[in-house]
Amino acid sequence: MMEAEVREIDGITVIAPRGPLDVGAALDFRNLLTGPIAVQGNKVLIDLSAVSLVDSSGVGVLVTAHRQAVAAGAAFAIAGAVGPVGRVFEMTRTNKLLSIHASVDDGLASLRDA
Amino acid sequence: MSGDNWRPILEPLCRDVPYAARLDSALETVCRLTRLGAAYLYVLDEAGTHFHLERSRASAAPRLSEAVEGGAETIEAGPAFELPVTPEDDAPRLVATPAGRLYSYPLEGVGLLQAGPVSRSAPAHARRALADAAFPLALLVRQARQEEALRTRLASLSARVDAGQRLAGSALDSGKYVALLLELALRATRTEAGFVAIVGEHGTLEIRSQSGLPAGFAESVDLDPERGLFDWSLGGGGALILRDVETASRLGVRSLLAVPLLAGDDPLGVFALVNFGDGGTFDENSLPLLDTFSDQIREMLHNDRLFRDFAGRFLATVQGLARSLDVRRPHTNGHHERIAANASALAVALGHDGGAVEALRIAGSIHDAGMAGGSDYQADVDHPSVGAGLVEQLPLHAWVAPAVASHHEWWDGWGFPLGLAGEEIPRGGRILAAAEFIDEMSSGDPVREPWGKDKLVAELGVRSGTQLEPEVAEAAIGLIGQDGLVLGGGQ
Repeated sequence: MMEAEVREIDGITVIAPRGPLDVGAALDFRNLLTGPIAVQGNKVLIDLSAVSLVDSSGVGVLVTAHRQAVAAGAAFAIAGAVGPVGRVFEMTRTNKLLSIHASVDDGLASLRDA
Repeated sequence: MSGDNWRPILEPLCRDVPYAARLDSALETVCRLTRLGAAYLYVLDEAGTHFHLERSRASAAPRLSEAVEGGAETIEAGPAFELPVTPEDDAPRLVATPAGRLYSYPLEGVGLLQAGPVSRSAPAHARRALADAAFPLALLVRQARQEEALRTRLASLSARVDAGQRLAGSALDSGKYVALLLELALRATRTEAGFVAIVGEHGTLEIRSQSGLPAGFAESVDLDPERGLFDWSLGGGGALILRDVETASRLGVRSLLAVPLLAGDDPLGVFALVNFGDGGTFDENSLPLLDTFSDQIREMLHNDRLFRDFAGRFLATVQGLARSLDVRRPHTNGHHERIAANASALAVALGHDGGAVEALRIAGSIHDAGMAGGSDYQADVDHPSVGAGLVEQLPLHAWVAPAVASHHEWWDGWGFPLGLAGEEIPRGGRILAAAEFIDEMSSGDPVREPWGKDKLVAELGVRSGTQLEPEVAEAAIGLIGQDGLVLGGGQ
């Protein structure tokens, strides 16, 4: 079972999964994101600072969630993807498809302006 | 200090087990010695400002419910993944954490060990055990980290050296080279399985090399870029994700890291590492190694594609040269096209596979190109060897060059240039020899009328076992009877 913390900051839904975001966690993670990203005007920030490593399925959920959020009129961003986690986005060439910020504060700032 | 505790904590250093397993074993020992349910190992980051959770050992995580807008999310409480460094960390102390009250003990030069949960104060036996364990644990972590860094570095260097050494010897055999790199990558990253899929002619992905995959895995995975396991159509840049999580999960995949192999933005293939079941996920040390091997495979595939592209153009040039020889005389016009068609038809009639049939078609289309070197007697004798030499370095089917080199050898040993006999003559050469005889005789020349089918069939019978291999001559007779060969002289 995937672990995640969900909180609201200034009207922005901040979802912080923990541990590895791999095939074993991807379906739970996808289910967790489905609601928040489907509402027009919602702002969703994924905080990856407690994620130990992400694989291609975790990257896939984030890219798909980003596309679905844009289609629904919601704002979607990622924060805390540093070190090995950030490197995976570069290796899979998905970093340019996503709105990735170094820190949660940076991510919140970008979504406040969205 | 009890020296008895050093041995079980340091013992994992004597075993050839992964870095994480060494730390897990040591934390297990700490829990046993302290009689506490959980132990968390934090290591200092490079900047010296934070501790990062490196490994943990906990019997069960407490569950918490947190109110959120629109409902409540149930989460499992765990230790913090990151802690800021404070002056208080230099001494043992009790700390309140999401995982409960823990006893925090400094590990000199390494980080922190937190164990618990404890009530208002840590039990005396636990404090003593942690004091005993701190030094050997710090020693173990330092040693294990140094070994892991060295192992990663060594594996990366070894991969480059090994790959570089083998590149020279296997430039024409990219399949073997890719398989070798895959094996090295799995070993270095301690990953259970992996595969390299190549983009085919029609843009589809095909698994070129695989290792460690369960039986039937490769066959049951759909690699169609439009609907399959991976999505590679994300708007340029070569971005690659795993799309079909359900299928991956059904196949028992625990984690899968797939890296696009690109030449610029042009897709060459996918390099994927896979772990199943409880095999775990990739650790951060795997990523630089994955980078190294991806670079090697990408370079190999790129070079392979360039080489095959060049080879295709070079072969077309040699075929053009052969056609230019044909058009010099009316009776040889179309000779190479007819030999290509007839040699491949004979190969089909003799039951050879598609690769051999295509090899005979190519060999037939260039078999006399070596005649371009001259027009004297010696050039005539040498033209099979010269023609074979034009294509022997190209990545073609293994039959092509030997067939060209031996298409004037006779079954009874009276041919040229080597005077080979019987089975010494490559099968492609024996087939090409029959096609050559049929075309020359059916085309005629300025001093001889073209032979008709009856004459051809009769002469094939006569030359069976002398000039021609009997089985090939018999197949040719059968095909002529069915109008299955293209004859010269407008027949």
